Order: sequence, then C-alpha cells, then structure tokens
Amino acid sequence: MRKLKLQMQLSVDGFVAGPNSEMDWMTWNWGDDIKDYVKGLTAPVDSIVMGRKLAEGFIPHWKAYVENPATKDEFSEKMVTAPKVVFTKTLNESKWDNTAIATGDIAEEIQAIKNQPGGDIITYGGSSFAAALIRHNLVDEYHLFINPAAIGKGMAIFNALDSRLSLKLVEAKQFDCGIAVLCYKPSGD
Amino acid sequence: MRKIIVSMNVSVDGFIAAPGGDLDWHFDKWTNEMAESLCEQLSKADTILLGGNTYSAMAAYWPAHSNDFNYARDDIAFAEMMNNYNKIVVSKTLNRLRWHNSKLIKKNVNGELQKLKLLPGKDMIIFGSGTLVSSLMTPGLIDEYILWVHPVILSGGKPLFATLPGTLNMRLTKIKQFRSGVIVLYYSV
Repeated sequence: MRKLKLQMQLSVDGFVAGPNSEMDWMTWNWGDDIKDYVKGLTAPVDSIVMGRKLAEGFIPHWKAYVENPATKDEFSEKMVTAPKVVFTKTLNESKWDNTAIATGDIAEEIQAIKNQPGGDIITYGGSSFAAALIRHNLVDEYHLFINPAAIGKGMAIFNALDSRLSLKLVEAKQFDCGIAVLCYKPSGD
Repeated sequence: MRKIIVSMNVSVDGFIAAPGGDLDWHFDKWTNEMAESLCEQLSKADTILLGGNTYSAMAAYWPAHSNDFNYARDDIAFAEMMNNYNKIVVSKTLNRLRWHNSKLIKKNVNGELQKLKLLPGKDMIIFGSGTLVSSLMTPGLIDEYILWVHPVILSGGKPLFATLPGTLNMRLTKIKQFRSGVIVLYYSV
C-alpha cells in the first residue's frame, strides 16, 4: 500500500508558522546537502495532497515558477505535473489543472488514495490539514525540518490528538544551514 | 565568561511534561549510552542550577544512590557528580537544603546569576527545572540548549519555550542519535 509522507518546516518548539502565519523565522539559505535530501524524498512521489487554504497559494505559485525559465527546475516541474488532491469542505469542483477535490471524511479519502496503485503520496500542509491527518494517524512517515529558532507561540499541527503518539525514529540528519531533519514513523505502540 | 547551559528532555512537539505533569514518557528511554553522554555534559560544568521542585525530587533520590552497588558504573559516576557538585537552588519557598553542597537564591535571581557568570569557573548546567528555565528566557541568561528529543508527540502539557518574548534564533552545533530513538540537539544562543 502507498505511503503518505509529511514534509514540513517546524520551529524548535513544534510550530509550523507564527500566530499570523509568519515564516520569517525559517532558514532559507539551503545548501546542496538539504536540497539533495528533498530530491530523494520527492523522487518517488506521484501524488500531492493538501488542504484548500494551502492550495490557493501553492498551486499558482509553482505554476508561475515553471512558466518562468529562470525558476523552472526539476522540483517545480514535479509540483506542477504530479496529480494533486485538494481537501475541502467549501469547494464543489476543482478550479485547478491536474487537481481533484476530496470532500468526504478525511480518513476514508486518504485510505482510498493509498489503496490505488502508485508511488508515494506527499503533503506539505497546511497546518489544519496536517493536524487532521495526524489526529487520524494517517501519516506513514514524518520528515520534520527543525529550524534553529524557537518562536514561543504559533500554528501547531500536533495539538489535536486525543492521546500521545509514540514514534519510531528512522533517521536524524544535520544540515549545513542549521536545519536538523528528524524522520519518524508512527511506532504502532 | 561562564555559560548557563540548559539540558532538557522534550517531546517532538516541544513539551517538557505531559498534561498533569507526567514525566513517564521519557523514563523508559534511559540507557547507558545516554548516561555516558550526560556524564560528559556534566564534566564540562562545575555547578548545577535547579528550581525548587526539581531540586526536591533530586535531593530525595541521588544521595541514596551513590552507594548502590546494583548501579552500573556510569550511573555511580553520575550519582557521585550530582552529589559532589555545587548546587544552586532558586526558590522563594524552600528554606532547608538537605543535599550536600547546596546554596539557595531567594531573590534578585537575574542579578545573582549574572554575578556567578562573571566569577571564574566552569559552566553551570540546569536540569529539569522548567519553571526556572522559563523565567530565565526573557533576560537572555541562557547560553546553550541541549534538547533530548524523545520519539513521542504529547499533544499538550508544559511547553519549554512558551514564555519567549519573541523569536529566539539559535545555532545548531551538533546532533547525537541514540539507539533508543532519542535525538540530542545542541544549540547555542
């Protein structure tokens, strides 16, 4: 069965954005080491799932990148060409190319995607979508990009659980830019 | 100048205790590998700073354990250090310090700690002491954080960095990985 991977930038204290979506605390001067890690993570992906709020920015952003010869690259092309599923309670139809919408129960919808033949599924959020995936224990692999900053308060993805979730460490890597990537699977305990 | 180093067990989502103050989530991960690492951290310091609650818990435990021949060699060495090091306890309510080599600071905490930093000596290390650590964040008295990240999401509890007045940018100096799945992130401020 296909696996769902979550890749998100986190502060040291577990937030994915400031209280008003601030991202100025994130480290962006990525070296080749971390870019290679992301390449490895993205290569087997052939489906991207996301919440509606993220989709509104994400989909046009990568479309513009690919249309501009100065920014078009392997990653941006994958973001555009990989079939996407946007989870929404408000839209009746998709307004984007290559993108379906999912309007039903999140666990059932994700399970249906996992049951289809194909490669890895990835999600980059947004925060409420990720929180729902985590709450239903639908994430098979967490790739947490721990940025070297603590922000005190902000948007969380881990605060909707009914009880604690045990994890199993797959690997931890330190990158030159100061980000530590921690990769976990749910431990099944 | 001497540094104040905070060495803390945290969950992946940034909590130092589960709801209700539970610490059980990190007890079962303790291994010899980790004891060795802790001993190494302690050997770079000559003073242990503690808040009242952690002090009371440790003072009840450690003096009895340095003579325990059932203890592994590393644990005995650690117990010896804990018992013999200078301990400085920050508390408004404690009056009697029953542990060997302990001194009390009841008021003007920031001023007293600044003075200690200027004295000759090795670094000062803080274990546990969540309340004390939170109170030292705003005046910027903490120089390094050593975060023992346990493979668990608690989803609630006592956060480590909630009292930060704004973003705290840090520098990741190294990471360590233990067979138990615990990762140690070393940050300097």
